[in-house]
Amino acid sequence: MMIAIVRAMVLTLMRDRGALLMTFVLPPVLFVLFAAVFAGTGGEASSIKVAAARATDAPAARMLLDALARAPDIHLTPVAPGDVAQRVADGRADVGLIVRGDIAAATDKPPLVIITDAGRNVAAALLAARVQRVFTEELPGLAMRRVAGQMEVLVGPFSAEQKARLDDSVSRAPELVAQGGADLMERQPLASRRAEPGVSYYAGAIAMLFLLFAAVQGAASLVDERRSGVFDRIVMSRGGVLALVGGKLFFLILQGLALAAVLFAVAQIVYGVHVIQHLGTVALVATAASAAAAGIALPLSAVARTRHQAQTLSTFAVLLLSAVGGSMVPRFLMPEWLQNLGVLTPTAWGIEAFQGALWRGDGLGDLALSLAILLAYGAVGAGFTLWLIRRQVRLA
Amino acid sequence: MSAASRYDLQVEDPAPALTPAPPLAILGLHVGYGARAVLAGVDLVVPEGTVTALTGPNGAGKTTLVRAICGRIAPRAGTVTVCGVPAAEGAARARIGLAPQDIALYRSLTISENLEVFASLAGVPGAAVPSCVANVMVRTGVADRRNERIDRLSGGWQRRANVAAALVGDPRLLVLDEPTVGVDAPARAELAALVRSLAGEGLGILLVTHDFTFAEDVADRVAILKDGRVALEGELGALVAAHFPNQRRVEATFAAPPTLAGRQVLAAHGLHPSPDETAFSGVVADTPAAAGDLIAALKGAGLVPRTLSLQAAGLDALYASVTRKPSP
Repeated sequence: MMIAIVRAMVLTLMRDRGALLMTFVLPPVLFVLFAAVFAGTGGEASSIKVAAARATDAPAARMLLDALARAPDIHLTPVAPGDVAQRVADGRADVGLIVRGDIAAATDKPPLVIITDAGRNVAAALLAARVQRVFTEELPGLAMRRVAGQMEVLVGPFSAEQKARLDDSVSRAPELVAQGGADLMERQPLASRRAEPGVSYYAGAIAMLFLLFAAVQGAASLVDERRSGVFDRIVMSRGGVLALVGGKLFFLILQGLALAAVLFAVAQIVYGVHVIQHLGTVALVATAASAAAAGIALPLSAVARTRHQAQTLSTFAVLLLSAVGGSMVPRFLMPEWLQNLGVLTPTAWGIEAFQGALWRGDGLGDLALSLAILLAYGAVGAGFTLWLIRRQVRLA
Repeated sequence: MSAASRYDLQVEDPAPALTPAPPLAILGLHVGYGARAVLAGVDLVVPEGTVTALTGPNGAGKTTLVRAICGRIAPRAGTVTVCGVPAAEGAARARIGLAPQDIALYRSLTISENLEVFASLAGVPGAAVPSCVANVMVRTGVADRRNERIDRLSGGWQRRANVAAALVGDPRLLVLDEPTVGVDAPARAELAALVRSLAGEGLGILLVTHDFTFAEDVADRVAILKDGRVALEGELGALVAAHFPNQRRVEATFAAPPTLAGRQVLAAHGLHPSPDETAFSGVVADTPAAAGDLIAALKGAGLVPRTLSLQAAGLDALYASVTRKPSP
């Protein structure tokens, strides 16, 4: 008898394309994506974009940069020292590196400066780790010379008299290290940046994730309306299909703005993210992002026959777009092919635009491309939905 | 009352003022899906101020016909006009009030909120919406329940609200699709009064239903659709008189299906079984002798009906007569 139940459930599953998609397609797809991000299985390693500059002619500096350029997880772009901060600020580089002193000699200041954007602190940490590794594994001679130089600064020649000084130095090591031998690296956050960590990134990332979820939930009302006959009544009315789709698009944008307002209020109050300071651009981005989310959600609801089908399709789409677009893992940590794929998602453009408005303080000119693409998603999605429904109702 | 005078409704391309066209006129309508013909030459007219009941077996094409009337299916041949305007045109749809079989309302909104939404969608100007809604609520008798949510109303009130929503655009043709589903007897009687009252206002009403009693209560004319054609159409009394002159409808019900011999006796007297074979109906001559013969035959076959009724033939007899006939 239990076999009968099993048979019924197997047949039900086999005939539910949405459930099949969720059970057998989404898990391996997400697995491949996350494996590519975290385990480097994507055919090429994730690489961070580094804007690097040399302010010294010391041979050791050139050797270090050459070694870094060969590292598989670093995409090094040589630039002038004055351009490093700008490249990090505008997002063309994840992190900056300036070699300002001879790393083979003792220096009063750390010879390497890592220019960091607090929104991408993890990139700075990855670069620091890579530099340490290069320094100790590929350029050990430099490391020894640097230590020796530092020792000379600290203790001088090893004579009897200096032996006493060494003892003294050892007893006052911290103070003397500060005087005579500095760390290898120093981190400099961008001057215009605020102290809060990368919350801005996740404010945008979570906003995009839930704008999509809220939009698909709201758009699913189309399925209910079709079942109840409200749909028939609306398409028969003078407003017709245009009022139906336009009304839903407008509602989803308003709903998205309300959602963003609540989320960013929390981000500002709890984490000090500068929302009020960039309210105009943030509101514009939220509007465009909400339109893009509606542009994804409306066609999904238009093709679904039942609410269950709409929810399944939507969950599949939202999880996929969010994973590839950077809502779950920052895109700069992904392999290049996945980063390129992410460009096709509204999530990536939305996060980039939120990041630009909230963190970099971008103006309209800087945000224009992202805004245009997000709005295009909304317009194309709504237009496609209009066409789909008109085709479904076969209105003359 | 015209649309303009009632709500200041702006009709983009109004029909000519002197057009005597009926609210609905269907001529030689052919509709099909792929190779399958669903409607094969339907002719039907719904005059102003009348209720036409459309019935027919499942699959006869009623739903397709309603879709064609609403301009949602392009005919292969023939015409559908609403007040003289081809159904495919937006101006025709603006003259139709559709009350679908399901309660086509936002369930968490109140009656008045729903009516406001549909009035706006119907193109009623914002300033005129309150008066339009108030007018419709009075006409349909839902004003007392105006602030109640749809999902908290009984089936009868939901049906009334469903009809009310079909009226906000001031239609000339009202299409009621199975309006008595889920409605109890008192609410059904009120609904019948409402439909008659709306017809009295001059609306042409197409009532799509399987509820023969309701149809007999409210319809001026009936049309029976079978195999994509109108097999029978006309004034109910005239049709009955023509099809069953001097005949009465007889129905016998049994606690259990009769034996084969019993069924043969019933068939010999023109009584046809219901699907579960516990009820048999047909017509007999309107004479005491005919009734006496039937009773004697039942007794002779050992059949003891639970009920035996003899009454004037009605829509159910017409329906049975039409649908049992093999298609040409």
